[in-house]
Amino acid sequence: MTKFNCPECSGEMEVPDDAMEGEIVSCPDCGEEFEVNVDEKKGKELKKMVAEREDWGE
Amino acid sequence: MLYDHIRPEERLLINAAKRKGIELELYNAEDIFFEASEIEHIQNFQDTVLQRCISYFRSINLSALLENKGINMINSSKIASLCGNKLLATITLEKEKIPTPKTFIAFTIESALNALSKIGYPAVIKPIIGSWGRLVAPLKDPESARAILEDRDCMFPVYQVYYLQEMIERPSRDMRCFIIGDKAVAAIYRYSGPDDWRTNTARGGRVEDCKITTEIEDISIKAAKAFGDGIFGVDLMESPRGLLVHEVNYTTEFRNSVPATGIDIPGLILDYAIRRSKK
Repeated sequence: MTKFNCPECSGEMEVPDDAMEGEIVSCPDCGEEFEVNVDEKKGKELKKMVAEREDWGE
Repeated sequence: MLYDHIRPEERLLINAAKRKGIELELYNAEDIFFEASEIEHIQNFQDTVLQRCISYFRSINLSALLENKGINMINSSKIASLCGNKLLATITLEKEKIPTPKTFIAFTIESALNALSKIGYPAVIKPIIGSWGRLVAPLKDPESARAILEDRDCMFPVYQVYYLQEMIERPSRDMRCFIIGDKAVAAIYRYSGPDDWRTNTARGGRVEDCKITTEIEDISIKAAKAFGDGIFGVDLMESPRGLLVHEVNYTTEFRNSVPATGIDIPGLILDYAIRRSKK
């Protein structure tokens, strides 16, 4: 697990080591969702989920 | 497995594959590009691919390209096209005489208001493409209907295909039955959240296990079969005239349904994909 501070509420978040590019993780404190971004140099980063797109769904 | 985001569902599928010792290759649709006629030179896909993209347009177009190269897509582009478009889904269900809510289609504000006078108020408007209850709105009277239709008239043209339905008198819940191949493997009740009339779990709805009765099983399997052989989440409403199918999902979500039902839905999906790949 890699520890992050939630970019939204600064709460503590844990991201699994096998989390993949584009994987959706959410903050246990505020519930905000983030996308994992894997950068070769910087390692894993969290970016805010884009707002739901019009054709997204199940 | 083809994906564009790893939702909890895709993570559950990856974990189920590890547990079962299945080698699941992952293809990120966001990284893929190919010449339509030369796919094999760009990506070495397996003979069977589980399609799990969140994006409807990405899903149907990628699946069509891969099917053209002989790859067995689960679900197929045809299934996704029909299920992902509420109008085509209604036509498919009607053709098989599967009970659905009374539905009207109109293409202008005035004709939509005429249709609504036949349906009666309150009614419901839904975008023909979209999910998670997005832009599904109750139409309580002609004034609010006109206001909502005028808003839709300013949006992208797909929102001017006015898909209008009767408001079903139902409990504050609906049901989803999971169909894998020819089996109903699990079912849930979806209860509306505290601040919304819609039952979508994406809108805060909560989930409870639902016993699969013969009635639920029969209508759900029949609805799924109308679209083809695949994996489906059949959404049902309890109406005064019996169960009605209001939606059939083609990349169904199950993150809340696994703990509620105790059924290993991702494991069953993988077992089914393996069976299909051996055919």
